[in-house]
Amino acid sequence: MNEIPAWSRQDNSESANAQQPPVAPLASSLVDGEFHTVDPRSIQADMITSLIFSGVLSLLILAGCIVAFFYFGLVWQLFAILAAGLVLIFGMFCLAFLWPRIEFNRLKYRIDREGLEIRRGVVWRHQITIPLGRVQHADVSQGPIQRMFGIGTLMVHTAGTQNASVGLEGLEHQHAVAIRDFIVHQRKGQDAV
Amino acid sequence: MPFDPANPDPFQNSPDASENHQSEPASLESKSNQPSEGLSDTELMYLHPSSLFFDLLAHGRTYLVPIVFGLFGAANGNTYFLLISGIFFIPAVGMSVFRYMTLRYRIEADHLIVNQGLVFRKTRTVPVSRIQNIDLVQSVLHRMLGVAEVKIETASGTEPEAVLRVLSMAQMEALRKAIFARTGRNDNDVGTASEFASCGEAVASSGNSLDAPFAEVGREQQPTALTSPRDTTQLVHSISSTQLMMAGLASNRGLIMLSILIGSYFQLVDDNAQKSIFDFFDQWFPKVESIVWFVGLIIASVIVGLICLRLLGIGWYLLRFFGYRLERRGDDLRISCGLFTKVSATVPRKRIQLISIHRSLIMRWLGLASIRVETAGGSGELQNATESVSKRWFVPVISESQVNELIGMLRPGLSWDESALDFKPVAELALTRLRRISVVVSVALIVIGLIASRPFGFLPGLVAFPLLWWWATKKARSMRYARTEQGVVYRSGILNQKISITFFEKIQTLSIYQSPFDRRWKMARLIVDTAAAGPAGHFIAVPYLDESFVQQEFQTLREMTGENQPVFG
Repeated sequence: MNEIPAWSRQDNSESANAQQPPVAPLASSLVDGEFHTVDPRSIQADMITSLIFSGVLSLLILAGCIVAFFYFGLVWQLFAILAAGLVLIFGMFCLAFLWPRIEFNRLKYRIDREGLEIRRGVVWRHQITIPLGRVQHADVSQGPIQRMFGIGTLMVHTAGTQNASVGLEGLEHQHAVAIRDFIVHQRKGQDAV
Repeated sequence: MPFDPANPDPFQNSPDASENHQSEPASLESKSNQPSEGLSDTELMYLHPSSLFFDLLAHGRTYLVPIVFGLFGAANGNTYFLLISGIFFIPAVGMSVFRYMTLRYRIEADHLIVNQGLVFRKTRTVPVSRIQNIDLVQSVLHRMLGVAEVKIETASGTEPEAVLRVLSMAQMEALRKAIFARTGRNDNDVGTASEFASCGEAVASSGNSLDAPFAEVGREQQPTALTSPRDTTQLVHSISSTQLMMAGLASNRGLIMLSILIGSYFQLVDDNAQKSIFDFFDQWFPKVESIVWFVGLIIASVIVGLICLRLLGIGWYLLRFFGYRLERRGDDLRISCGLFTKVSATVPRKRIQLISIHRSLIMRWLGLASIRVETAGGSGELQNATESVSKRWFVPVISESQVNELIGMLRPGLSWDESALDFKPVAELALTRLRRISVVVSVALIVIGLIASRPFGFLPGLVAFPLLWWWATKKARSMRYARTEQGVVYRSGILNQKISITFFEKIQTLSIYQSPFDRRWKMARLIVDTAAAGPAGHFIAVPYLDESFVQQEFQTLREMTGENQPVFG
């Protein structure tokens, strides 16, 4: 009879601040200033995504060859096109297998007193810092393939223009949520621009 | 706290206003946000009655063509056309009346609340602390009626949070005061309820005089008891007509005027009249008899055309910025200018994200510069007059000797001296790299030219080469980066030189980009992102810096941005 469900208790309470989960123990483990890689399962997830993509593209290439066959008949040019297409498909599948691992090795992030820093990029290198005080909001999303592997994407939004939202994909979902909660609690209403 | 009954606006004190209070859904959330400093809520306020007319003007524009068409037909004797006119006109009027009758606004518990509609009710609640600017536009018509269009802007979105079309000057000032009193922007504006009432009274007496230049309205309505040194409006910068003319001479704005003229010409003049004008030119111009005549004629018309363009540019500057005044009142900067349509915009100093100084080639010759500031919010494209004045044309022209002083005024504690800055040039190899690009491009041009036309196709490439080489040299030398005690400075541009300044607490993200070429040359690009919407046409992205320097600077800037938190509320 006195059992009030948790959600209703929170909704009715006048001061929601009092019920915020404690963040201090979390913070100490997250803010270590060390560079981390994301969850290794993201390699497989990425691989599946790029394999699906390559598969669809290969089907399109093959369909193009079939159309060309009906249009031109069996001529030597057709074999050349087919050969080129097959080489393309082969290359694509090779990349689909190799690229996620290369990308994974280059993707690093760290959280320290100053903010969240992300380094990434194989050919074009990119390094970005989001000071914790500048975060407007942060969210975690999870696609269907990511869900299969229990990983997620952390999106951090600032009031900036060029880099207004920065994504970090491939984090373990629980970890991403923990980081999000930590970041959001850090900002303490300093959101004026 | 009611307004003074002496207020000339009958709608402000309508007796049923207080009853409407209960129906406002937004009043629910006022519990958590107690009004600061004992400021009580204002009553419901309505638009000025002349809003009907201006609303019809603004919204009826789409119906203008069918209405005019209908009236034209009716004038020719066919009364059915009147019906067509009516079909478009009556709903337009109805909509305007409806909008006018249903829109009301008030300030309650630190929120500006604007209600609209009857069946589908739209309530917009804007936290007063988030309001960035309160801008006004006043055309000649507005001025004759003593009203203005008021735009309330926040940092979000692409359009003003609320447009109040139109308010009387008294209402406008009362609203401005009520808002600013709550944000505590002008320290002395934060007053008690009675002081607030007396402000309204003072406005009522002064604000309705027809031609009161509204730069001065603010000063007049200060009740004497409140006046203190910080409260007075202080003129920071004004531009003489001579200077405006010089700026017009230096600018390419004439082209815009020309396009407007051509556009209106084709819209207004019908085909027959156009033909007769061409005939007139045909007769008037001397017949081409020799090549010398012909060339002379072309040169003469080009010169005349250029002079006309410059004159048009001068006209544009005078039209837009006549009587320009930049004033400071507490922490607010107010700009007012315009010959026919007067524009007044307020830029809170604290909200300035980025300051940039622009100097085109001709402006440099004349010893002039222009200054832009960027506040957060609004769109990259400047759609309306107030936005474009407060952002793109903050100070349209200023003589070089005054620049340092004015920039120093834009931020407390900022002392700006460009020549004293310790600029860091780009990497030494940048010159070589850019020159190599110019060589590659020239060679490519020569090859393509030769493929296109055999004997002399190499000529364009050959001509382009010294130009590209010059461009490379200039570009490498023009780019400079500096870090001051308060922020970051970036200079670039060959013909149009730009210097941008931003501050540590305004930096949103820091990043480094490195293309494969950058890595080969051991260089990197340092990017400093701010909340400036259209960063004054100058985004702080410094290319060709030394890789090691960028990494080091990145760490320093990280610490500085971390230490300097945005503390304004």
